[in-house]
This record gives sequence, C-alpha cells and structure tokens, in this order.
Amino acid sequence: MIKTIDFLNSIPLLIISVSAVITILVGSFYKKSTKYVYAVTLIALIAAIYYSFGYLDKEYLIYNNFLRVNNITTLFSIIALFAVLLSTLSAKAYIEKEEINFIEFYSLVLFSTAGMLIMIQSYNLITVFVGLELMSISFYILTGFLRKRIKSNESALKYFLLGAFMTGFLLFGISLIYGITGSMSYANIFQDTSVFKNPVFLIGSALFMIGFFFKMGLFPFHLWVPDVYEGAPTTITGLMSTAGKIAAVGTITPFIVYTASDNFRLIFSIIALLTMLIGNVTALAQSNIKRILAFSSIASAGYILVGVAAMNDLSIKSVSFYLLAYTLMQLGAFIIVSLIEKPAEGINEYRNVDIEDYKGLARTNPQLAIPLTIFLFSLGGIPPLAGFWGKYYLFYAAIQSNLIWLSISAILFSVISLYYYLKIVVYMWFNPPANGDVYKIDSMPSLSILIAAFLTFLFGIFPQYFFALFKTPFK
Amino acid sequence: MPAAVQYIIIPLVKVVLIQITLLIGVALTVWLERRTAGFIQDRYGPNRVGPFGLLQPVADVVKLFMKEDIVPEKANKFIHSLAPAISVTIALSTIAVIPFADPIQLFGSEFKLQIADVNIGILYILAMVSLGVYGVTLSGWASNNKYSLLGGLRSSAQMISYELSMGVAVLGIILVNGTFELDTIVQNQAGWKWNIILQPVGFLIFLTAAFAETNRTPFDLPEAEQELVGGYHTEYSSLKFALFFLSEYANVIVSACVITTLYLGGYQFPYLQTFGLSPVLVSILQIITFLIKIFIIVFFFIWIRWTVPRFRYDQLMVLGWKVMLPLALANLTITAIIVTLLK
Amino acid sequence: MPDINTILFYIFAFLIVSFSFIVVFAKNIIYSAVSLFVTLFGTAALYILLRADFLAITQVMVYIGGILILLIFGIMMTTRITDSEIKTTNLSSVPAVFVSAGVFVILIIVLLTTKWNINPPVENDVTVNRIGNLLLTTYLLPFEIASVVLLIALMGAAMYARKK
Repeated sequence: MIKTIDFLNSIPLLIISVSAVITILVGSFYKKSTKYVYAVTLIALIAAIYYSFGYLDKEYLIYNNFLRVNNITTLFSIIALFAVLLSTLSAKAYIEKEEINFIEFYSLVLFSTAGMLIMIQSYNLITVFVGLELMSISFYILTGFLRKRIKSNESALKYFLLGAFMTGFLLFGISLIYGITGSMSYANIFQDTSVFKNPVFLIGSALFMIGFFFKMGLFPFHLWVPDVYEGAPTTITGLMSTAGKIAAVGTITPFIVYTASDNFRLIFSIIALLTMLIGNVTALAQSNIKRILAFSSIASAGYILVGVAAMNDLSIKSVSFYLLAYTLMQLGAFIIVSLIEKPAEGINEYRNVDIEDYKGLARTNPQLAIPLTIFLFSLGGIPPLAGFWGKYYLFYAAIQSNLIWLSISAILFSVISLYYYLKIVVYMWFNPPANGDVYKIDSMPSLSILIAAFLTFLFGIFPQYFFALFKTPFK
Repeated sequence: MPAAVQYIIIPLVKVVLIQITLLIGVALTVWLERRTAGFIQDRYGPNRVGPFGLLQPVADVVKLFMKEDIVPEKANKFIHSLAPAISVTIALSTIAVIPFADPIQLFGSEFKLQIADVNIGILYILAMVSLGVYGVTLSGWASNNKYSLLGGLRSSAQMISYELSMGVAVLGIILVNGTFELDTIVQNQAGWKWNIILQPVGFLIFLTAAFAETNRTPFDLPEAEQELVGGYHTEYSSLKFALFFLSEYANVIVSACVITTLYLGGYQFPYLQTFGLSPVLVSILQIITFLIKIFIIVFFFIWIRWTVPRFRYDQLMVLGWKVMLPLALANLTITAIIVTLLK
Repeated sequence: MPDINTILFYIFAFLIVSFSFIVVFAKNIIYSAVSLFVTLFGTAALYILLRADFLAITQVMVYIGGILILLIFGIMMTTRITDSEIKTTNLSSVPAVFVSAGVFVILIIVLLTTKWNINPPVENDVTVNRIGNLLLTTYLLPFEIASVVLLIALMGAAMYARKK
C-alpha cells in the first residue's frame, strides 16, 4: 500500500507531476493562458529544486520500494531539474519566435521532467522502464514540435523509430534479468552477488545498458544524435542533450557501479575511447553549429563513460560534477544558438546556424559573443572554468583505477576538440562581421545565460563548493 | 469417468449440439425476419415453401450452393477467401461461454450446460467482439472494390468506437456482481435481481452497442445498400456470401444470448427453484426460459430493423463518442460509488 | 510420452515462430499483418498454457482487437501501399547476418545451460482478482505512470493532427 509518508518523501516528483497535469487541464480550457502556464512551470521547477535540497543526506525507500531517495538520486535529480529550469527559462523567447507557443510545450517539458525524476530515483526495473518511456515519448513529441519544418518532422520520426527499437533491447534485457533473479527490484537483484557472473545476467544487463547507451549517444548507438539534435527545435536540443543525458547517466551509473565486474571495465573503456574518437574527429568536419554541439555532446558522453569505467569511489562524484559543468556550458551554448537562429521562411532549413554566420559576432553582438566564448572555452576544458575540473575529476577517477592509457587518450581527444571550439571563437572575434544583424535578447534568456556563465566561473574557481553540498561521503 | 470422456467426448457433444441449435436458430431467424418484414410492410413475405414458408431458408441455402463462386480478378484471392471464414468462426465461437441452465446431475456426475466454464467469461465475450471486425475489414480490403473498402473502413471505425462503450457498460455488471464468471452472474440474478433493474443505463448502452457491433439497422452503415451497393460483401457470391449471411444472423443470436445472460437473468425464471420441482424439470424449464428470452430479443432486433431509419455517419460517431461513452463512464462511476457505499 | 501441455506448447511455439518469419520476410505488408494475427494468437495460447487466462484475454483484446486492427486500418487508408514491395537495401547485410547468428547461438546456449528461476503455474487459479489488487496496491506507482505515458502519447498525437 502507498502511505502518506511516501508522498512526503517525494515532494519534488509530486510538484512536477501535479503541475504537469494542471498545465494540461488549463491548456485544454484556456488556450490563451501560455503566460501563466510558463510562470507555473518555472515556479514548479524552482520549488522542486528547493525541496530536493531537503533530501540531501537522507535515505528513503518509497512507494513500495519502487523509488529510492538518497544522496546520489537527489544529486542527479537536482542537476536534471536545474537543466530543465535553465532551458525552460530561455525557451519562451524561442518558441514565440518560431510561433509554436503552445501550452503542450510546457506540459511535455514537465512530463519529461517527471519521467527523469522517476528514472533517476527508481529502485526497480519496472519504474526504470516506465520513467524512461515517459521521458522519451515526451522528447519524441517535442522533437517534432516544429510541425511546419520538414527537418523537425524527419528527426522526430528518426528518433521515435530508433528509440522504440532500442526500447526492445532494454525490455529484453530486463526480462532476462528477471528470468534469472526472479525479481525486478534492485533490492533483490543486488542481494545475491553470485548472480552477477551468470551469463544470462551478463547478457541481460548488457542489453539493458545498450538501451541506455543509446539514450546517452555512446559509440555504436550515436548515429541518431547529430540528425536529431540538428532537426529538433534548438531549445529542445539543449534540453535533450543535457537533462536527458543526466537522467540516463544518473539511472545507469549506480546500476553499473553495483553490478558490473572488472570484465566490463575493458569494454567500457573501449566504448569510451571510440566515442571520444568519433565525436571529436567528426566534429572537426562540421560547419553547422548545432551539429558541432551534437558531436561535442557525443564526445562528452565518451568522457562521462571514462569516469563510469573507473567504477571506483570517485566515479559517481566525478560523473555528477562533470554533468553539472556540462549542463552549464552545453545548455548555455544552445541557448545562445537559439537566440541567433532566425525563424524559417520556407519549410526546410534552420537559418543562421552555420558557423559562417558567427563571423564577427563579437563586434555586432558582444553580449552574445562573450558568454558563448566562455561556454566554448569551458567545453574545451580550459581552466579556470567548470569544464576543466569536470574533465579533471573524470580522468583522475580513471587513473585511480589504473586506466592510465584511457586517461591519456581522453586528454589527447580533449586537445583535439579545442580546434573546433576555438574555430568558432576565432570566427567570432577575429573575422569581419558576416552581416550587421543585432539580435534581440529578452530578459529571460539573458538571465539564464547569466546564471550559466556565472556558475561556470564559480565551479571553475571553487569546485569544492559542489562537493561541500554533501556532509556524508558517497558510497 | 475416464479422462478421455470427461475432457474430449463430453465437450465435443456439447459443441455439436449447441452449434446445431445455433444453426437451426439462424435459419429460423432468417425466416422470422422475412415474415416480420412482410407483416410490418403489410405484405405476405415468403409463404410458399413448406408450412408458413418455414422451409424458405433451406431453399435459400440450396440456391446459394448452386450459384457460381465469383472472385474478382484484381482481388487478393487468399484473403478474399479467408475473410468470411474468420467472420463465421468468430461468430460461432462466442457462444462457447454462455450457460444455458443450472448444472444437472446425470449418471452420477455433474454436467454444466455450457461449453466452456472459464473464469473470465465476460472478458472472453468482449475479446471475441473485438475480433469480429476482422472479417468485415479484411473482406472489404481484399475485394479491391471501392464500395467494399468504404464498407470495411466504416465498419472498423464503427466497431472500435462502440466496443469502448460496450466494455465500459459491462464493467458496471462486473462491479455489481464482483466476478467475471458468467454462470455466477446468472446465479446472482435469481429472483427479481435482474441486472436490467440494477443497471438500466448500462443495459441501454449495451443494447445500442450490440446493434452497432452486429452491423444491424440503425447502424448498418457498412452495408448501406443505397450508398455502398452491398458494402463489404459486394464482391461475394455463392457460399462465401452465405457465410457472411450466416455470421450476421449468428451474431444477432449470440448478442441476444449475451444480453440475456448479462442483463435479463440468463436462464433464470424468477423463483423457479422455490416451486419444488425435480432438478431435471427445472433445467428443462430453464432452457425454455432462456430460449424465450432470446426469441424476444431477436424479435426486437428485427422489429427495430424494419421501423427505424439508418443513422448518418457523423451522427453515428457523435452518438458513439459524445453520448454513449460519457454516459457509460458516468454509469460506471455512479455504480462504483453506490457499490462502495453499500459494501 | 510427453504430456499434453508439452505437445501443445511445441505446436504453438512452432506456429508463432514460423508465422513470425512470415511477418518479417513477407513482401506484401498485408500478409505480414495477417501473419502477425496468428503470432499474437499463439502467444495468447501460450499464456493459457501457463494458466494466465486474464493475460491471454488481454493479449487478444489489446493486441489483436486493438493494435493490429489499427495497423490494418492504416494499411487500408494508405493508397497502394500493398503494391510497393518492402525491401531493406543496405550495404551491411553480411555482417548483420553474422552478428544476428552469433547472438542467436549465444542466446540458445545460454538458455539451455541456465538454471532459471521458475515458479510452476497454479491450476485453476483465478488471477483477475489478484492482478487487480496488486495493480492498485503494490504496483500502483508504475501503473499510474504507465497511464500518464498513454496520456502524453495521446496528447502528442492530438497535437500533431491539429490544424494550426
């Protein structure tokens, strides 16, 4: 049975779900109320973050052991909620510009957030699955939200078909795990460690992980990323590439750290290596900024997997810190891209997203060029920005597990990545303006850019602030 | 009793007996329909073959036997032949779970007058109803004819729409009785407690949906002669047409059985058990009661067909989605509240 | 002499597997749909062999009575879809065959050598009441989330279909 205490221990989830339902109801009766729905969404997200902080250093199992609240889940929830908050804050200007300012947008964002929270907090394979579906289906719909744009439709269809296919892998994996352990609950699965060596369990968890590797965009399953990220509305791309990735990583990392043995470490290392290779090298050849950022997000997934492959005490700590840094810089970059992008005239291309269009941006629009430079430097891993410390902790975790070759190659790839990040910076600062356009910036997007830039600096200079949030050490 | 007898021979005998009764019932229904139509339209109807024209259905079947079996050249031959078979199979297999009387004691063992006593009889019926759409849809598609296709499309849309209200209406019965087993539901309706009294709105919804599911007037849009020639069975002749014909009337009889079982007390004659008759006589009387109830419902089907005009397509959809479904949901909610309060 | 359940299981398993092949390899999409009918029915039959009657009927209602009908509906509404052959042309069919065959062999070996966590089916068990109780007590959370998933899918479909 579900008790009242369960509700008290899952307030952020309740806030998000209830406000999502409210937005649907309001949206179906009052079509003109987008302004209020926007406010409700922001308030709900802020409240959820506020209440999440209350769960730090606590441990609960709620809803009949379907969800679990502890330091790790709370941490990932906060980062995911923060990513959603930043992108929603800036989204309104973009969707007004593209004339897709529908209430469904906010409901879907909230529902996907609820899905993320459920996934991250789940303590049972069933909730992992339904949470993942909740998030993914919202994303499929949001990807095709620009219905007049043929690219948006195409990428939604691609994402949906591939996602549905990969869900099959995930489910098959879950069914094999269930077949061998006789339970879906982590409590029972993790109880008997001898089962981890069982071939069925290995195949099952491999298939289970493949489902998540797809969502994270890791090497053999990364092909959808550039197409979908390019075709989706830019704010949604920002949301998917940050919050979606946080949720996937936050769900699978504890599972891997609990169950995976040393045999998996080599496989993860190879996948991480290949992902970084593909992401960084392919990004060199791109000229569309959304595609560059998409490949950079693939590369980031590779860096994250370096930390996961370490499978030691530092793994979750370093992965979560990198995710926060990544959220700040990637989302900040996407917000700026969404501001520079121009509404389409025909049905086809997104306009003003080529890096040629960024030439001379520092002269025409310094207020956009300066933060974008910060974010790109941070993505490239230049100290003293948050991205540097993110990579530092990840590679340090890998070295602790004797994966020195992996760390060195990760650093090398990180250096390669500087080329395409700095290329944009050079275009912005040292080239004559491509056009004299001065882009209009609303207060809300500039607020989110400011927050992101400020935190990039803050965590770059004082990374220990992040870890000081937790009094007790991680498991 | 040896297992072979218990599990193979007795069910087989039951199946054969009940299906033969059903087929005779179909023949009688066809005759009844034509005679009633004649009566309502102030003419004779078939009255030449046999007494009162009772052998007319036999003559019809013989005639259909003799006809040439035409398959259109561009039709998909396999599915064109498969569709009537699906139709008739599903129509005939729904009756498997209907109980006809109380269990009787014969030769020292108990016999249930029901082919299959399954735990979830109601769900079985709903599942079979949801399959009924296949025959119509596939035949409409396979004929490669625009009228057939339109008929098939209409029928799938119509059946899916009305299945929903039907299912929700049945949920009311399940709430009242607390079981999915049909014989328990019938036994609960002993005395005055027929479900039609406890669930009047549900009964109306179910009855209307049953008309739509069997494609009978006023919902016979899939085969509306004036617009679609013959609808989904335009391109069928000879025995394949006969199979569609058979399945339509079998569906009518089976719907009557289901309506009787669910809402009209099934085989129960009020307070029959209190008269102190011998069990075998009780069973026979129950079967007769059941047949009379079925006859009344079937007559009602026919009566409606010859008195009420056909709905327009948009009216049909509005009725299904905007009237019946909300009504069924309201019925379900109110029933749930009352059942909870009375518990 | 194996018992009747085993014989029936192999008959249905054979039906399911062979018709699944037709589903995948049929050139004409309507044949795929009709074969899927048999496959889904066979699965329902397997559920009945496992004494899971409610699951079997739900399988019939949801998959055959609902999803497959919508599929056929879609085929019928699409002009000339059955005339076009469905063929996947892609360059890596040879590696794909090797990978699938490898996975197949590994799965078969693993399935045969593993000691599974098995619960024997209970004879003549009424499962509906217990499923209903569990769904509304222990499994309420995933059940509700699943309904929310359906809700947003509905919302998305309505939004894509909307005119403006």
